[in-house]
Amino acid sequence: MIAAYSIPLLISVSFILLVFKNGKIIKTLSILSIFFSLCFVLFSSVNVFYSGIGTFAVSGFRPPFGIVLVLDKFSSSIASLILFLSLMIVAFSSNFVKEKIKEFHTLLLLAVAGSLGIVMTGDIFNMFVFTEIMSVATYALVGFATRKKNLEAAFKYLIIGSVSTAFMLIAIVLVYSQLGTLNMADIIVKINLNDKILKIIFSMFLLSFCVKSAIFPFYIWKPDVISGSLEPVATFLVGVVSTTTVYVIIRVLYTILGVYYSTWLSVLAIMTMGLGAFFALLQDDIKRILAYGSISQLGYIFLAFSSSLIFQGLYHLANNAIIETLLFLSIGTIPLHKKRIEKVSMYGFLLGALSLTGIPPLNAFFSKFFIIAGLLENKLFLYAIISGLISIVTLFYYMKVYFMFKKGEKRIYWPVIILIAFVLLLSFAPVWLQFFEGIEDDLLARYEYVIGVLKP
Amino acid sequence: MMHIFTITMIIIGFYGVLFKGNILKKVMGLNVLTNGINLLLIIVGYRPDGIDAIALPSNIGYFLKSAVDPLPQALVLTSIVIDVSVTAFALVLCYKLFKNFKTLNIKKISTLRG
Repeated sequence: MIAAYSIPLLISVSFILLVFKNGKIIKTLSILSIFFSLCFVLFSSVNVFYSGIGTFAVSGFRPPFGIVLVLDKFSSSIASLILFLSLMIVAFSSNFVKEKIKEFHTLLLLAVAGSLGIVMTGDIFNMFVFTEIMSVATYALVGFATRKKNLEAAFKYLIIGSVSTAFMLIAIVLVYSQLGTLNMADIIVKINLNDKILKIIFSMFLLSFCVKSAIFPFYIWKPDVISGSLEPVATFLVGVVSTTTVYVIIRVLYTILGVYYSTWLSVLAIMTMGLGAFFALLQDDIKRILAYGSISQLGYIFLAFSSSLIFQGLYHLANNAIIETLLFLSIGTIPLHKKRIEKVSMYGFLLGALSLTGIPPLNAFFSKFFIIAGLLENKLFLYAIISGLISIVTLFYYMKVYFMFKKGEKRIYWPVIILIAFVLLLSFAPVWLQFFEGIEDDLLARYEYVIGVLKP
Repeated sequence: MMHIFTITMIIIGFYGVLFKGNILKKVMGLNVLTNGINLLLIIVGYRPDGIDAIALPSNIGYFLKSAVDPLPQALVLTSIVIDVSVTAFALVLCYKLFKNFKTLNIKKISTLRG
């Protein structure tokens, strides 16, 4: 599986960058390394889609004993999405980060490698290590500009992130003491789903990722951190880190535990959705409005997954990641404190905002429509009505941001244009539905995952 | 007995990191917390009168009876290394915060709220 080489590639390039002094070489190298990782992952994904799960046993130990990297349909598509978004962010950041370029690119590549590792690994302790790589790199990225605001945001993020990963480590230790294994496929074999203690342990594991993905009781850190960090970093947090944490929660709930309906997660998702939209209306700062907006959108994704609407949730996850990146990159093109924005970015922002609100021919309309239709089909009328109403509220706060802009000079930012193209591409819903339904079938087949990884 | 000791340590760590006002004390609390977890990890792998997990042809029966599990030790090493790097980064951040704000009190540093 050639995709396994993308993690060492990213990490080694991230350290090689520290040798160079020329900004252009550094930028080219980091873009190339992410591009090649994306190519590797896409190449492996094609294999995965045609011939089933791909595995890579690190240093040759057989799966239940050593670390194993696994790509199934779900993880390969999320890995491709993450690398694509990181490529856009790295290509964009060169307009924004003028000093300490090499440190910035080193940290960003480490964070990308960490999140790629989280998605690709099949071992929960290895997942902890990659989570720490990603987290420490993002703490440093948040505090990168060393202004007062950034330092404060970085310290808050560090404390909250470390406590949540501590929870994760406790859960891993307890899983090991109960089951005697760390391999995810082996856990599926050995787990007894009626065991209350194991349920509590895995709830702790999920809790740590609920903190990292900022759903309802734990969302307070996110607006602070996003408004206190540079634009490329805020984009990375909203686009890539959120997607990764959602991936982990889905993986644990669906593949390891086999839980497809979870009432408490639906309630938390509804609260996240509502409070995110409500607080977004109250804010004045552009980045804080967008941060609360992204929290509100995560509520939709969790609502879909906790009500067993899988392909709808996957579709909205992809839409949300791409549109949030588009929104944050478009506001990133505003020079500081001026609120002037160049034309293409302004249209990009408008397109993304309208799409997230649910204006008909655009992509997030379809995903939200499918989610609400699925909720009605499962007779969850209250959830459907609330999510429909909150979708209308979304329009108000995004339009509030839109009318803060003034037109500026014309400069073209390629990442914004590519992301607009992808938003339009994702709007052809019928083509994509088949793709996402294929992933859904793969995600529901827990035992095929076990057979694919352990190869008995 | 050891379990109670570790759990107390973890709770003290949580208290320190969440409720102390001084940022250095928060970092110390984080260290106490992670060390408590490391201790828990060691207790999971503990076996009374255990021997090294190296199997020789001569002692294979004795090995199977009393070898310790080597995995928790490998995990605890990894975990300690991660803690060191997080602590180092947190201390640098504390230093920068003190230089900028001239205080270590989190309430005086905090300007971003919710």
